[in-house]
Amino acid sequence: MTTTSEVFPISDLEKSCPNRKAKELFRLWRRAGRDPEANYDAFIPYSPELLLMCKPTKDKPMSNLLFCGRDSMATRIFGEDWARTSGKNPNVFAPDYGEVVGRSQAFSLETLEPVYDFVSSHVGQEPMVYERLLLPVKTVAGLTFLVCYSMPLELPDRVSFGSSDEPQCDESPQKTYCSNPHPAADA
Amino acid sequence: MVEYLEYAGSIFVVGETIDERFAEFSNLVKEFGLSTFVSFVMFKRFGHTELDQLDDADKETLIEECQPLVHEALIQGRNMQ
Repeated sequence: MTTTSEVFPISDLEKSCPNRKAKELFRLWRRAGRDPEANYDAFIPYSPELLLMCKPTKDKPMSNLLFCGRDSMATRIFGEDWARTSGKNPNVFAPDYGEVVGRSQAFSLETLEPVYDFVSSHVGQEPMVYERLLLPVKTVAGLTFLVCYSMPLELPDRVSFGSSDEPQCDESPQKTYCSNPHPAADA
Repeated sequence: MVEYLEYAGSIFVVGETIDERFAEFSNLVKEFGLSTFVSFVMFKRFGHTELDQLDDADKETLIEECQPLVHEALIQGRNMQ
């Protein structure tokens, strides 16, 4: 099993993405970008579902995670303890996951352009399929970060970690947010 | 007196008292424009974003949870110089 991704035109977000929060976050991002003070405080109410990231490291997926909201997809899958540890545990991901998901992150940070993409990977034997909205933010001091909002399509059951640090999927059902508006990307 | 300590690849703000550390932390947040992202953490941990409502334990928690953010800001700040 490998990880795949597909980048969609950002216009697809407004045309075909059924997720209202994603559309609202994009609208807020556009509005903040026109503010000379670059104030992103409008994101704060959405922060429970957001990730904040810096430049990705290819061989250490999620090591660039600076903040993980308690209702974010990552916390829902891996739990709060995992989300809080700064080192994270890259062993939970497919070997190529960091490289594949890092491409869009790096592109968005370098160009300061938003990215709307689709990611298909796995955790253990379980599929992990989702769409992402990556929004680059630049502070008044010129520092750049990424705000990420993930929209799960198919997730593994809640992952727990044994003493071996190998991921183990629980048997409780996992909900997803929406159906995939880009079925061709599943193929 | 506040110092920056690099340990195990991370940068920490070190000071004798929480007031010193928090003052330095607040300065960094203001200097680097990190207030929105610190508010993310406050909203998660405390359910509000009012810095003046934090007690000493909350301040310690906030500094600890924002350590990756401050570390990244210091690194980017260095690279810009």
